Order: sequence, then structure tokens, then C-alpha cells
Amino acid sequence: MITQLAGFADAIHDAQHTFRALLDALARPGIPQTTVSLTPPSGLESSCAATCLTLLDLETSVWLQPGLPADVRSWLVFHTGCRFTDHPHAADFALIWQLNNAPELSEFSWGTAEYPESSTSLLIQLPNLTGGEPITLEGPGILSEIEVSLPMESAFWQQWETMTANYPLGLDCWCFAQNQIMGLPRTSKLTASVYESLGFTKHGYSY
Amino acid sequence: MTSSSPGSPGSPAPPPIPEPGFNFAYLDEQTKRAIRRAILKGVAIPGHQIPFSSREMPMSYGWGTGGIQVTASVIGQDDTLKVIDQGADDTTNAVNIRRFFKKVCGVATTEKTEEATLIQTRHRIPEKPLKAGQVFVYQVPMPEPLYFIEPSRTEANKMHALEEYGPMYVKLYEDITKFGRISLAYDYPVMVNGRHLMNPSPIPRFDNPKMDMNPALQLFGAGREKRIYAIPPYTQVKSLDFEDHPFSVENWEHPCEFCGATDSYLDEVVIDDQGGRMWICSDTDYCEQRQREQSGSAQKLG
Ligand SMILES: [Zn+2]
Repeated sequence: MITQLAGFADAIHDAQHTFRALLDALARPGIPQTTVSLTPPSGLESSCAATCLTLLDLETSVWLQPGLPADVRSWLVFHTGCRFTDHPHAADFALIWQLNNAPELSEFSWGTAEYPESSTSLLIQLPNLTGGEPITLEGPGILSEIEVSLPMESAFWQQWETMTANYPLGLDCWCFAQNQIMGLPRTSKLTASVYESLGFTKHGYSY
Repeated sequence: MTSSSPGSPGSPAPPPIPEPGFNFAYLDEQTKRAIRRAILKGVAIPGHQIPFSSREMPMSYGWGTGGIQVTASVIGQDDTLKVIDQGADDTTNAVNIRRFFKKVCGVATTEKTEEATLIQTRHRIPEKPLKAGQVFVYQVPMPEPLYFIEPSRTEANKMHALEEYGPMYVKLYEDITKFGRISLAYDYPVMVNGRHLMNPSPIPRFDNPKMDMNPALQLFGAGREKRIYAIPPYTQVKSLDFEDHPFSVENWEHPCEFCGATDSYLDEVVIDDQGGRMWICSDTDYCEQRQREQSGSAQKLG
């Protein structure tokens, strides 16, 4: 039974520990952080499950990428009481498990001019946090620049490039694999050399 | 839960000690989650104010309830907490906040900047440089830098959205016209990440340059005004200025009369009832560590 699937062993301190990992991940983009271990329902990475327990509750609406086992939804309802939406644009959090089949970044909410924080946060499950084409990022939280090799297709980075040109509107992401988290806030921009090497066109803002 | 009757900041009545049986770090988990979500948004949009539902705390607003709520949402069992008020670890406010967290979290506390993982501050940034991995929490009375230009929050939000910061420069330039220089000594406005105008809380302008490209994570909590904002590590923070009037910090003609420091922020303190005065470091930890080092090396020499 789903209700017998455990959440955190220690609700208060595991949530605090996971929050600090999420905070560090966002404050230091590109540097992997580790969460507490827990036994997630099939379909959720351990770090993503811990994040859901830490951030979701009755006040948050969640969009689940179709195709996740039904147990995931029941587990989230049982442990967090979160609400669900079928519209990516209406979600506070979007849980993505197949990035290549996910909606384009522009289909999620980037917030409004006065409330850019009212955007969707993306929880992206990946097989690994490495193994993709190296990408160099710069921005707050990054001293000079940092190279990441998240396993994402260049189409993702092209959309990311378009999105970051609309700052402070935009999306913030956490990427998950096993018990690891990597943060990708909207302030992390591709360095000029990266988008040129990927053959991207410049979006009319200066570096 | 009950809160103490409102009192003016610095009033003698200390905050009541919470009864046993409160949640870790006092706040309930639901409240922490909402504050944590606001903090994360703040980090993602450096310098931008995020509204949050500020809770009743067992002390009145002047005690720094915004900073306390941020600290309570961040703190964990493994943290080592330092609390300073105007640079000092031993003032009533600092002692009470430290005692509060010791009581509701059982965490270790320290007065040494370099030993702390989490520092809550009112009105100063320590002289010893903060390190990567440290979290630095400011108590903020007024988060909105545009308040004295545009008291309507709705209008101020629009100005931030449009990056309409001209009136702030005009206000500062009026100072130059009147006084020959920008007279603001505290809460001197900054631009964060080249985009958001931000109040650094009433730290002296002397501390403003420390915010720029700081390796620590800086979080700001305003309880009465219900706002949270942040500066991630390694983020550009620039004090507003003009080409013909570049930003500058205070300096003193004399060193600290206790430790001889020439690089620290000095307070003038009354030392007796004869009107005697001394200039000494406002950062008590910095001053005491320097004095100890000096007596240590003096002993070695002798
Ligand atoms: Zn001194």
C-alpha cells in the first residue's frame, strides 16, 4: 500500500537538511549537493522525492509530466497534500522525468514583471548529473565561470538562452540524479563562447 | 502560541523564553516551508523582495523578527550560530536572540566570526571576511529603497519592474547639491547583479563594499514589512554613485584605542561620567581577537 511507503525518517531535520542542499544548489549553480537518503516510490529519484517532501504542501500546485507511475501522485498527496494541475503554466512546481519529451521552457510560467517570483520551479530528473556536452555558465553564485556537463540536448540550452534574456522573468531548475542535486537558477547564463560554439544566435543583449 | 506585548526596540523587557514542547527552531513546519520557498526565490532573483506571511514571534518587531524567522527556517542541528547587534555579541538584543536559538534548537553558538556557519546580524558586517559556506542573515526594518520616493508599495513594485531608478539618483544628487556630498551614512542603497535596487539594512556605508562578490550567502528578513531578499555568493553589489562623486566610505583620523586597528569601523563610546570618550572597534570579536594576538606576541617577545 502506498500509505505504507515511508517519507522522511526524521521529518523536521531531514527537511532542513534537504532545504540547505536546495539552497546551496541554487546559491552555487553547477556544484552538486547531496540530500538525505530515503526510499522513494518507483519513478522518483531519491533527491527529487526529498525535495518534494521539503517544498510541497497544500499551498503549492504541481504539474506532473505524464507517464509517471500512479504511485508517485498518491505518495505526494499522502505526504505533502499538494494540489495538481494539468497546465504547466499554472504550476508552482513541475516534475519532469523525461526532459526530451517535456514542454518547451516557454510553456511554463516565467512570472510577471512585478512578481517574477510567481514563476514555475522545474524539478528535472536526469539519469546522471554528468555525461552531456560541456556548457560554461556565468552569473551570481559563480566565481568567474563554471563548466557543467548535464545530459541535456542543445535545444534545452537554446531555450535557456532565450529565457535568460528575459531576466528577471524566468524559471529556476533543480536537476536530480540519485541523491544528488544541481541548481540552475534563472541568473545562470551561457557564456558567450558557449552559445557561439553551439551555433546559437545572439538575442540582442550585451554580455 | 502567544507573543509578547509590543514594546519599543531596545525596551528593557527581554523576550519571554518559549515553553518546552515547541517545534525545533520554534516555527511549525508549514511556516518554515513557506519561508524556505521565499528564500529560494530570493536567491534566484538577487536583490528582489519576495513577500512572505510573517508570523508572530515571541518578541516584538524591533527585536528583528524578520531575521529571526529567516534564521529559524535555515538553521539545523549542525550549525554554529553567531548573533551580533551593531557589531557586538554581548548586547541585550544579541544575547537574547542567541539564547532563544540555543533554547529552541540546542545548537552550538560562538562569538568568533570564522567559527560560525550561520550569523544573524543587526546593522553590521564583521571585519573578518566571511567565507564560502557561511550564511549571513540581516535583520531589516525597511526593505523598500524607494519608500521615501514612492510610499505606495504597488507603485514601488512597478518602478522595480520597469527598472525606473532615476528618482533615486535624483534624490541622492539633491544631497550633493545641498551638502557637497551624499550624506547617507546608513542603509546606503545598492544595485544588485546590475538589476535590482536594494536596501542593505542600516549597516554603515563602510560595510557596503563587503557585500560585493562576497563568498557567503547573504539573506535579508523584514518581519514587519513581510519581505525576504537575498544576495547569492559572488554577486555584484554596487553602491549608487556618480562619476563626479564616486562612492566612498568613512575613515577615521586615529586607530582603535584598544587594538590599534586602522581598517575597522570605529564607534565613539563614553567611558566615564566625566565625559571621557574613546574610539574603539564596533566589531567586538575582531577587536578582542586582535588584542589577544597582541598580548600573545608580547609575551613571546618577553
Ligand atoms: Zn579594536
